[in-house]
Amino acid sequence: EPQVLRTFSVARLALEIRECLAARRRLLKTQLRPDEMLLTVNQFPLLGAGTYVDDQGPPNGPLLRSQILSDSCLNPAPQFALEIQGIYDRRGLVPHTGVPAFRDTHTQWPFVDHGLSDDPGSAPAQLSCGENGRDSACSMADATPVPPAAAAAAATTTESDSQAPPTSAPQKGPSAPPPSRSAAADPPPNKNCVLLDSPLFGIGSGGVLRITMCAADLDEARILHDQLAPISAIMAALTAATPIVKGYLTDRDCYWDVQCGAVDDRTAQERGIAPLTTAKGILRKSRYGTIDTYTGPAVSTADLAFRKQYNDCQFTYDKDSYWKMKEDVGIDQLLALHVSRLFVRDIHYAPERLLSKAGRKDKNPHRSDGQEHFKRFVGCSRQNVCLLPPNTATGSGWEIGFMSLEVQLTDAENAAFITFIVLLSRVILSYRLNLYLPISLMDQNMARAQKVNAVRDQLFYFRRDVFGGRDGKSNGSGRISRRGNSGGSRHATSQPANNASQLEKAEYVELTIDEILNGSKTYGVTGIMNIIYSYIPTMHLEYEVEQALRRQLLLVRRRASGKLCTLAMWMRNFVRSHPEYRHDSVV
Amino acid sequence: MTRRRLAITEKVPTTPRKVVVYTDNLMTSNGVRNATAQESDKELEYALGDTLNTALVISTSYRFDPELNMLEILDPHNPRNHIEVKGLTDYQVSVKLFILPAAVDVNRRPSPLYVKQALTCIRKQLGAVTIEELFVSFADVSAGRDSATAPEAAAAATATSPGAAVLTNGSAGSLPLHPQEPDQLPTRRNRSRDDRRGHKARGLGRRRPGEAGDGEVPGNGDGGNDDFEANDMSRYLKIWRLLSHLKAEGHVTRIGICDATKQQLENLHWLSGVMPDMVQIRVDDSQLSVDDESAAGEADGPSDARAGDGDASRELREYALAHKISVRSHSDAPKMLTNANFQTLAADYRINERFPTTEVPPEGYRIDLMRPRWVANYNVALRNRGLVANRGYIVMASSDCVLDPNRVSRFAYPS
Repeated sequence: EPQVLRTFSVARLALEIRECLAARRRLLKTQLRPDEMLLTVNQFPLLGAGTYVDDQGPPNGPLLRSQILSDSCLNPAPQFALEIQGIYDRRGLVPHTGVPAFRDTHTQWPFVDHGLSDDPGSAPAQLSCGENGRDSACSMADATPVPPAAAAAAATTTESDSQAPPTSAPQKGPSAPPPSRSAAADPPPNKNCVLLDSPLFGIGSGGVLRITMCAADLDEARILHDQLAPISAIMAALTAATPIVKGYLTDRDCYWDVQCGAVDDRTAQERGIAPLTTAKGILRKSRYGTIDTYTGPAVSTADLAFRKQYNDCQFTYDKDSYWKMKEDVGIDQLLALHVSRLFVRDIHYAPERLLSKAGRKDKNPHRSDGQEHFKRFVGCSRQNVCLLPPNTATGSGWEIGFMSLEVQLTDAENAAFITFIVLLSRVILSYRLNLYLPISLMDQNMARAQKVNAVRDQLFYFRRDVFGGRDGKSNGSGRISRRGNSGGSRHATSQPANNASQLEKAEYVELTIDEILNGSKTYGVTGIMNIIYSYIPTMHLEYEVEQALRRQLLLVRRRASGKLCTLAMWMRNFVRSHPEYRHDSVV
Repeated sequence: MTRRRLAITEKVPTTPRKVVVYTDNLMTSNGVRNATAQESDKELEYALGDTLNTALVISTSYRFDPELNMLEILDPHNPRNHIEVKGLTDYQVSVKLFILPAAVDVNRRPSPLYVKQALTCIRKQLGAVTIEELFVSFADVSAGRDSATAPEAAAAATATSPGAAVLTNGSAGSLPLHPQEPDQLPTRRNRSRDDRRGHKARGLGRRRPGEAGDGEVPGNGDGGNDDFEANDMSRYLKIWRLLSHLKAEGHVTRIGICDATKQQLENLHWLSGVMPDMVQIRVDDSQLSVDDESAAGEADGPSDARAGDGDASRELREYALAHKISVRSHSDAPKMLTNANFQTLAADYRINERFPTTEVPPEGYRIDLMRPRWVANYNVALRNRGLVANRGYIVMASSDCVLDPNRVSRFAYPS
């Protein structure tokens, strides 16, 4: 029973979160020099461009092995160096990521990134065909995955010209045939991309706004895990804040794909380039990515909202642990899948006490009971929603980490989004909302959410009827079904007039974020904000608390409706209207 | 009548038919999607319709108690919603009781019997719980906040009340008064008869010294008197005393009142000696969705949707702060369940047919249409987790025996 459960109150959430964030900021500022500023951004925009840190040394250092970053920007704490070394060891070469560049009026087009040297001989690592940071093969519907057989027949040139057909040569793979990329992306990889060649772009610098919520027990944690996953794409679009990478304006507003691609430690076999010999299987996603499988509601709740068809993404899992969990321990299938999916990855480092054996009284009297070990494993693969196991040592329970929010510049905005997510989790639990989306659609949402100004321009798949479906039917309510027209149609509040009957039957519709959050009559969508607004009075808050809460939600609502632009748009406008900007996408 | 009578029985007038309807748990029911809690009257109607449909039409799961002549329509989906306190978190029950215009006793004052009845029904639904917060909302007080037209209660009133009433805005009024019966001074006796029409409409009268008014109504000097009448909470005293008894005995932890102005609160305190623990003020939809207001709207909150109202609410909030009254907000409609709506529902689901046809009204009376007497909105929340587990409505309606001019006794004079 986690202790934190007894101390939560929505009043404190509304009033104190902002203060708490401001206190952190003040604390950090005490350590800064007078000419230093504290910016809470996802990634420093100029990291990798020109001079970006004090005492910047030369690139190609032994630790990072990066052509654009020098070792001096690596945090001297050992775990970062170990992690990066581990990624390099496992993958065999430095992972490359490409972010499509933004085409402005005077941008040199086709865009060639001059940061990386073109000489194939001197470069320790070839340019691997970038995945454009996109790590899932089941993302865009228009992406045609090139079958490996056909790609192998393509010319295996070693030029690093960005216009060449995508090829890559592994640095340390002695017997592997010349590989070729198996997934084309949109735009074609490495074409007009800003190239990043270090895991430091993903971890160790910058980050995300991560919200960890404590659930009462595993059942609740599973519900939250599943229902928050479809929301993650929407939140990424709402909080988009990273249009500038490595000193260039990019064609993406979010940092999610870059982070996922930068820490990609899959070997060539796992990426599908080399034939499978020692690896467990093809891994379609990097270890940071979107979830592969829903955990589904607990079997005891008899909640039929979840259907097997939602888990339509192929993924590899560790069969030994799966069967052990399922047969020996009796864990239900979905949870066993979810956990055994973790075991195809490797952790890169661990403190010695975790690895020590039991009974060594001199060094380590406490044997690791596996909890921290497992937590490290969970931390290895970071998804948009993480299910974190409890830890009896620290007294925490089952937790859900929500990872896809981008950090905003001001405390008020961060506090508003935190409040929104926490309120949303309360609403999901109280109303038992059903937001299930097939995983493939969720991945498509995530890909769309990162495009420029996705808040206003993009359509997202969303479940039309979030209250229904608990009885297994797509539009049912989980209750005694109504007979004919008795009762339901007699009332003033009848269902909104849907002209097309297929709108009523459609389980998923493509909506703009405004429609998702603020509701839409044409599709019969109760907006998420409306549900939250109807939930607030039932919490019986004090007047001032409620007003503060509503003011925070107002920010989210205005972002969704377009009245306020996202941070990414603000940055773009700032850059493009700056007198020194020469409209060539160089910042 | 002694107090030992069953709580679910009324004194006078004799009410041959009673109906109590319990709605489903609105957190998990189908009705949530069609109405939000912001439009609580619509939500209530929808929930009522849903329950009546399920209980009367689809599956006929109601109970008729012939002794009390009461039709009890329990929650068809969760027959017993008793709270079992699990070890992890504490449930807190809040109840808001809407005393509708029809819930009056013979003196035309809101009757505390209905409050007891409501609490019994709540206990039936939820088990023997301590109610954490009990709000009581009087229809006259709430409805009188806006400049509304004549209340439907008065319109559908028995044939005994003469005249029509025009409600005016009690505070800083904009409409002048229409004197009803200028020859009647509002003494204590007469006031009780006129209460039924809504205490806002009054004739000429004396001004009570020392009672602060909101301001002068332009024109006639009735403004001061009107404020006096508006602020007079003496008709709610009985219920208020009952609430304070409940609080003293421990059944209810905190009591509150809805839509009261500062003057009304002062008056209540002066009359009864008990200060409410909470007061609920109404926050309009226009104040809630200040989406198109300028940034000033965001900073000031609700205070610029209606300037007059904003001042009043700020005044109230300061008063509450000074007296340690907790201020809550609600957006319930002023008229929660009108007689007409309920009668439409009753007709739709043919409630009256469930009663036995053998009942005979007393001599010279007829059975009137059913009127809803009170609506209770209960809310079971897990405060320290921010979740709401259970939320629903209970409605009680009954019909009066009224004088029937058509049924003349055969012992009357031959015409």
